[in-house]
Order: sequence, then structure tokens, then C-alpha cells
Amino acid sequence: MPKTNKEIETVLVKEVAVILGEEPAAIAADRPLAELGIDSLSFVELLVAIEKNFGLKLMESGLTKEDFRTLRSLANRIVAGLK
Amino acid sequence: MISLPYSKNKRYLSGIDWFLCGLDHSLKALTGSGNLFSVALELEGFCDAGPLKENLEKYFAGYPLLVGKPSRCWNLAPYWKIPKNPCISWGFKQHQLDEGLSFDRTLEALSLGVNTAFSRDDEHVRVSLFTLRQKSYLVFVFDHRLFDARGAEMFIAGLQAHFEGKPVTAAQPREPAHLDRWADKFLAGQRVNRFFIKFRQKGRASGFDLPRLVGARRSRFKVLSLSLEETDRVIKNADARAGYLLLMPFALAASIRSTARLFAKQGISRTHCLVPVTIDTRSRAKVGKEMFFNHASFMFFGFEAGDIKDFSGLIAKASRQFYDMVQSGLSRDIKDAAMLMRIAPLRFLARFLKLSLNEQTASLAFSYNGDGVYAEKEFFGHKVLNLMHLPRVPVPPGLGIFFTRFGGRLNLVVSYLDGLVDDADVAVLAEDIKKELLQG
Repeated sequence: MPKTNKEIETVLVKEVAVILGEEPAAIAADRPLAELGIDSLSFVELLVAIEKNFGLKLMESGLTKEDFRTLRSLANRIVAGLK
Repeated sequence: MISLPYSKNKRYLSGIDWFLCGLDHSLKALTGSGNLFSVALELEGFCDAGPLKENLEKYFAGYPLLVGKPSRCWNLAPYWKIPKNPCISWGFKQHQLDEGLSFDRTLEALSLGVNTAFSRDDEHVRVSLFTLRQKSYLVFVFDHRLFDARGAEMFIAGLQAHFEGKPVTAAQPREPAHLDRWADKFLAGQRVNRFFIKFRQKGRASGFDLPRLVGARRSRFKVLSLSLEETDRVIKNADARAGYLLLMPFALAASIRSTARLFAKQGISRTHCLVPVTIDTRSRAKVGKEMFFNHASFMFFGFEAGDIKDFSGLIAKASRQFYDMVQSGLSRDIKDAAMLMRIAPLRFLARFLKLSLNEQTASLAFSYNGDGVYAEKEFFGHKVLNLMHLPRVPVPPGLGIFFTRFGGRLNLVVSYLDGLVDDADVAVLAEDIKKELLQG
């Protein structure tokens, strides 16, 4: 299982690329999720992918805007959750 | 995959497309006109019909699919049959609106088209221009068998590109016959059936009793357009109450709460609500490439009467169900399972839908479209003030609540069958939903 921020960020970028039907290169980890084109459905798809990859149920542990602002901040949140 | 020779005069229909054809058949039988929806552009200033009509004609001529109709292939798969020498015909009407008409009265005029059946089975788009001195409304009526909500917006965006001399991508991807992976389709059907058994065990859901349907029954609409400030407040409330980006379950919870109050006021005392929610299954990248036919699927949310009292609990329940359905792949299963229904002739399918829906009446239809595909600021030299979707709702339930966004603003649309509920009650319902969204 990926453990460092960078590794987790790479997994998140790949998952978002699949969800949005884009190339991973088109997904910037420091862009706000809403600007990437993530809506309610794709956001929940991302949460399901996080549970599948990291075993974390973020839906149940509170979804603050700060944690989910960008994929980078989300990677930090996941690292904290895995500790 | 079984690969069949591709004909440019043939486009295979998916299970969801065939389901939409069944709804169209059923709506025609029950209400006189089919499964139609309107997209209305509110434009600043007086719009001249002459050049507009000329451009529309040229644009429409590029899409032979517009004169197709459902047919069935030798392999029994339904397909959209395009005539060899297509002659595109479409309706255009111009109307002068009375100055000083209230918005509700204007809306009634704008919904004339969506309540009028197409004159032929191979007519699928109609355009009407409503003018005032300082404002115009360009209303497109679409056949749901050929367009879904995003496809319709894309069609209008393409029209605009055509006006401006930009290249228009005629998005008509080749669709296979889907005559393979039968075991997967049957397994998907089994999972969908198991999902519905849970709801069937609860008995009939809350919903309005349908009036006796005789002849033509029109759909009526109530539209509330929130300002940018109000929309921002709703988004902030959704972030705080449901979670970041979870506006859909927040809007659904507010709609359920307000509708349950209306049911209680009308003395409808059944204990649970069932809400089919339309979900666009396309990825963002695919939205721009698939203009025609239906790419949606469904999710089904269930609520108990007791859930209504606690708004936080209701939001959490909506979010939980949303998550569970995404995790279980229900929408994908419904799409796969729907392929099995394609064998049914439309008349039989319509009867089957009627029987199954009567047994398990949905309380209301719901969708949240989010930001649309059409995001232009000007149309044909006129500032675009708003874009509204006015969909007819399947009967039953005959009542639907829809959210769309244009220019950052949220539009709330209530669609209801004439005679199902009073206009005054619908106005209260819409205001109540807005209040719930704003108060959080």
C-alpha cells in the first residue's frame, strides 16, 4: 500500500483521471477539486476509490472543505488517517 | 464482442434508450404527448426570427438522426433507423408575449411546446421564439428518446458554434448492438432485482393519487432561479451540512422534507418515500463527445416518515445511500440489466412499466444536473440571462423536482401533471425547498 504523501497523491491523480475520463497528466494535484470538474457523483466515486485503495471511510469521518480542497491536501488527510 | 457490419443508417439503442422509448409510449397513451423536455434560453433584447431560422435550418440539416425513428433489427436489437435520403423537417413558431406578463404566466406560454405532441414519429426537435420588447425566450423542445439533458445543451452549444462559423463536431459515436456478455447482464439484473425487493417489502410509497387520465394532460412548471449570492449560500450550507461538494444529497434531502410536508398537508399518510434519481453516467471528457441518445442511469433513494423531522439525519441518510449505491455500482447494473428489456415490444414494455410502477409508486422524480454543458454568455448577439430545463415527468409519479445551474446560479424546477396538485401548493413547495436550502 502506498504510504508517502507523494505515492498517495499519484494514486489519487490516477483515480481522478479514470473518474473524469482524462489523462493523468491533465490532472493537477494542486488545483481545487471543483475546478477539476468534480461534482457530487464524481466526488463520491473518489471517496469509494479511497476506501478501496487505503481502507479509509472518509464519508463517515467528516468531510471538511480544507481536507478536500486539492488532491494534495487530500493526500495529507489520508496520510494522517493511516497513522 | 459480436461485431456487426456498421451501417450509417442505423444506430443501436441501449437498454436505457429503449426504457426511455417505453416511457414515451406510456406518456403518449396516458397524457397525449410523449416523453418530451424543453430547454429555454432567456435572452436579453428582442431577437429577430429571420436569420435565426435560416441558421437553424442549415444546422439541423447536418444531423440525419433528427429524422430517424425506433425500429428493430434482424438480430432483434432495437435501433434508430435513419432514412436513406433524409429530409430534415422541424417546427418553428414565433410568438409575441404580452408586455407585463408575470413570470408564472410567461412560463405557461413557454411550456406550450413541451405539452404538444410531435406531429410525426420522425420529428424530434421543435423550436419556438417568444419575444418581448426587451427580452426573448428561445425554447427548444426535445424528444427524450433522442436527447438527454446534457446532450440537448450540447446540441444548443453546437448551434451557437455553427452560428459563429466555428467547427462543430457532429457527435454520433458508433454504438455496438450489445449482444454479448449475457451472463453479466443477467447477474446485473439479479442484483437490481434484489435491490428492489427491499423497497417492495415496504409496500406502496407516498405519492399523489393520479387523477383519472382522459385525453391530453399537460405538464405544468414552477421555476425559482436563485441569485448568485443565494446559490453561494446554498453551496456553503451543503458543504457544512452534507460535506464538501455534496450538493446533490443536500438538495435531495431538502426536496424530500418539503414534499413530505406537502403530502402530510394533503392527508397522504403512507410511511415511506421512494425517489428515483437520474444520474448522468458519462465522465466529463465524454460529455462533449456524445450528443445524441441517453447516457443516464438511475439511483433509488428511500426515506421513512420519521426521517423527515431531523434534517441532519435526513441529509446523512441521503449521503449514506448515495455512497452505498456508488460503491455497489447500482447505476451500472441498471444500465446493464436494462439491455435485457430491449427484447420487449414497446407496447408490452409500457404496460410492464405501468404495472410495476403502479404497484410501487415512486413519490417524486429528482435530478441534480450541476453545471451544464452550455456555458455561453451570448447567443446570436444576445446576452444569455438564464437557461431553464422544463421536463415532463413520467406518470406515475407525475411530480418531479429538478436542479440545474447556469452562470453559477441554481435553478429549481418543479414539474407536475395538471390536476395532480394545486398551483398554490406547488408554489409553497418550491418556496419551502428554497428556504430549507438557504437556512441549511
